[in-house]
Amino acid sequence: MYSPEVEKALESAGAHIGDIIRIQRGSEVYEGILLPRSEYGDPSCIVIKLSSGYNIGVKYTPGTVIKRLRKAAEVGKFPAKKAERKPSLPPVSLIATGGTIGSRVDYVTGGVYMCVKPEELLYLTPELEDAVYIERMRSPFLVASEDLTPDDWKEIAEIAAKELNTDVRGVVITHGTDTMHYTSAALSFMLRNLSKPVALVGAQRSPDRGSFDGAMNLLCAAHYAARSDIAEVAIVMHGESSDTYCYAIRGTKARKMHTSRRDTFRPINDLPLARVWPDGRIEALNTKYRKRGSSEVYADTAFEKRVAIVKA
Amino acid sequence: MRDKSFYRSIGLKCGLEIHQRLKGGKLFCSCRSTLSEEPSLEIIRKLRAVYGELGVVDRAAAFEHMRNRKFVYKYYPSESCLVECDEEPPHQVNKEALEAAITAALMLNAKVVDEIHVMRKTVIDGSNTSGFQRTMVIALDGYLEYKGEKIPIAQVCLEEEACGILEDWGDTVVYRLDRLGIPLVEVSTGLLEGYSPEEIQEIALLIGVTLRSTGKVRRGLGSTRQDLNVSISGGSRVEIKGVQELELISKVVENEVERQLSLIKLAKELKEAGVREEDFKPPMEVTELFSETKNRVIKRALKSGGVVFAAALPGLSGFASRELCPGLTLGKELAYHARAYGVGGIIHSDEDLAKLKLEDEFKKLRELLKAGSRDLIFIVAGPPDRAAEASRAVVERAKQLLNGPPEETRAANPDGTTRFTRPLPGAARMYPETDIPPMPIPREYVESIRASLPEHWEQKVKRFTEQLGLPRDLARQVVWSEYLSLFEEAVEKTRLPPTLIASTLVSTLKDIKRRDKIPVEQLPDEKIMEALLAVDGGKISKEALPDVLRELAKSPGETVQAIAARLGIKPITLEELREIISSTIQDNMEVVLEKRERALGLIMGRVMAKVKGRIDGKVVSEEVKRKLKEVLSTSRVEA
Repeated sequence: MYSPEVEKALESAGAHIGDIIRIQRGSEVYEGILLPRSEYGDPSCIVIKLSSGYNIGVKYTPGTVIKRLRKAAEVGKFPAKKAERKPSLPPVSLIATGGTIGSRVDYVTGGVYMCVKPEELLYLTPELEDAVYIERMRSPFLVASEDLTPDDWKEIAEIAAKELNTDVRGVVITHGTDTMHYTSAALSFMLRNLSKPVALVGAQRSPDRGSFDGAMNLLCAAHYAARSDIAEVAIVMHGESSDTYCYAIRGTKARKMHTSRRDTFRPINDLPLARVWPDGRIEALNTKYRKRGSSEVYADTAFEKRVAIVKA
Repeated sequence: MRDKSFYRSIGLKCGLEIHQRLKGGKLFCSCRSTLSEEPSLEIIRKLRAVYGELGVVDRAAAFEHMRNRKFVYKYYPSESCLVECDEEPPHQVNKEALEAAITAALMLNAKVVDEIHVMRKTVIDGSNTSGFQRTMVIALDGYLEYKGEKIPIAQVCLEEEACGILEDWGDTVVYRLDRLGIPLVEVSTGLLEGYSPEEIQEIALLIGVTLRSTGKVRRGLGSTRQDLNVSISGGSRVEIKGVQELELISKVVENEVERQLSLIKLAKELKEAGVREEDFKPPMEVTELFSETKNRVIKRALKSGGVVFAAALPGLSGFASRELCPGLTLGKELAYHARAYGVGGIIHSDEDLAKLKLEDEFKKLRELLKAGSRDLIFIVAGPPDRAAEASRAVVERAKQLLNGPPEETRAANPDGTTRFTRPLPGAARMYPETDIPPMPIPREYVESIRASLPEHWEQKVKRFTEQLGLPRDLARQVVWSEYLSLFEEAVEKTRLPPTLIASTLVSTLKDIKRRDKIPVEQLPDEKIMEALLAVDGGKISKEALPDVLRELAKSPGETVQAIAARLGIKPITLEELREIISSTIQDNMEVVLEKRERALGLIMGRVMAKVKGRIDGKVVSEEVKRKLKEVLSTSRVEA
């Protein structure tokens, strides 16, 4: 968000975001790609990307001359990957709802956007292709989890029930982490006669980083859905800070314990259902769980939203 | 010896990047910036190749991803927190570090930017837990004067230090987290053309001195690090990382020039010999051939499930032992490419195969690979995926020999040679750090720093000579040394003669390092200061200082007091000295009476043997003279 004065100066120079511009202020000359401004910082500073890749802000003062030099190279689109049918691999359905795990960064502005197509997820975790076969990908909406409402839980439950009643081995739901444990609890109650695993999965680090944790989480969630015999809704995320294994935590017992740590989800008054390793090993930790079966699932989505808490 | 006109004629171009650690806490959290001994935990991570802004994986990142290495991070409780573990976003930029960087930028005549934007630079060799290094441009377009010319300073950045490597086992690398996040200032010069390697080294020294004169930088092992960009006409841009010692720069540049020249010559020779790219065939697995091998290394590799890959390199027989530059043969150069994939190296047909007990195998190999007598044959043994990738990398590198030196990133070895580390990263690996908002830098703030800039080093030399009475050479040595800020602190805090402080810092410490081979640079400033204060407070004599410093360097955990006690150099009082002198004269009365004034040397020597290092030698000499005179005057009467 540039100040009106800067907007005007850019406009009269014919400079648009993405153009290579030259800014001259007295004896100082700066050249770079014109970038948009975030809401922070000084709105009268023009943000440019130098040829070295660094961004800097150049203060616009009266007498500053802006010249548009040329259009910069188009920034590439994030390619999507089509899933290939691999009959030897167990089929699962994937429901993408948004969150960090399904986001991508704009490398120029640094802004984070939701993946537009769920197929883009596959691009972030190519290993998935060798672990399971993604039969279908559904995406009712793509939002950050803090914006989800009980109506969204209903929609997820209905889609999940429908998917579970096909020949897939289980369902993986990608989700933001802030309210993932609410959704997991809601789904646990809404999905009746559950006979297959349902894994909720997210990420605490964004996919632009080498340290993206969502890839291993997604892989473990897919293993849980495809290979475990636990017919329960579970959150499958990092079990510890190391990239070693994930815990599958019962949907009604999970809680987010830290804003940013990878191992944020912990079971409260319960053991984790299982330890899931990215290579497909599943180690049961809790003997009490609902076993995989063949019953037909249905979504009981009656939900009273007008609830208040009175705290004494 | 190559002279300056030679380097001009081959079009040597060199860019310098000087990294200098700053004093104070970490850049993005409140952890200490010390290095620690005992880690309390470890974290195991993997890093992934990420897709850059063009939707493609950067070639350096792809290379790292292919290596598929595991990273172990040692966690030190006082020097690391969730920020270093990549479990929490960075905190606000350390204000002290920011001010130090702006100070440095102004000393380099650079223009401080109006608004600082923190960037993420993708690095996935594990040295940063996040998969990127946080860095920011502080200032642009400065200069330094050198031999009457302006050396362009293109950019001054403030960035976070990476993790330190503890161990590298090929498939697993162990890093220490305490080093991650220490603030450092990075000064990049523009392209330096028309300078000799010695001059380039001098320019690096000059930048170092300028940074140190801010008084805000760290000293000691690893606190400065130089990266070099070197290219010559007909060669390629090669980035050489991590030259630890400034004094090594000219040698590294000379070696790199030599290496590129040799590779250009080799390319010509190979082309003239009719070697073509299509003659290079991919490696084959030949494990079977080695099932009965007597070679210990290969036997061991096979025993642990390893395999052997082999390939012929057309026309290269006899070339593997050729030196590309002193200390680096072509064989070694090829081996570096194999080693980058986590295998031990290569064995090739130019080596002494009889000694390696591989004559038979290589004979069969030559047939199997249908190789001619002019072809070099090599093998790689190791775990299946690594051996395959490593042998392919060697063939690829050999193929590139037809085109002269390739662009790449190399690392400096302590002997001034370099080794291949990875392909040069592309330009598209920098994007904004969204966890830290842009920081407008008010002009008044910059001007307030400019108003109180530390002295230029030349002014310092002048002041030290004129006001502190240092000889000019010593003044210059102190100003150019790593101990400049410690010197200034000691002059302020003690009443010791500045010359004593200066010579202790620039020559005594150097002597200890040279004579006793003790890594005295690791001795922290506080300990040196402690020793100087002990002299100042009369707790040890200045004569004892070298001994105390030597012992301190050996065991920096001890106090100066404890060392003085251990060495038996508890200072003595004037009364005690007088007693010792009296009894020494008594013991040697015959000689004294015989030689009279000429006995001074003998008495002095005997007394010094008893009090050495425990009291000022000047005092001893005065007291001995006085006492001797006294004794002789009375004895004359008696006689």
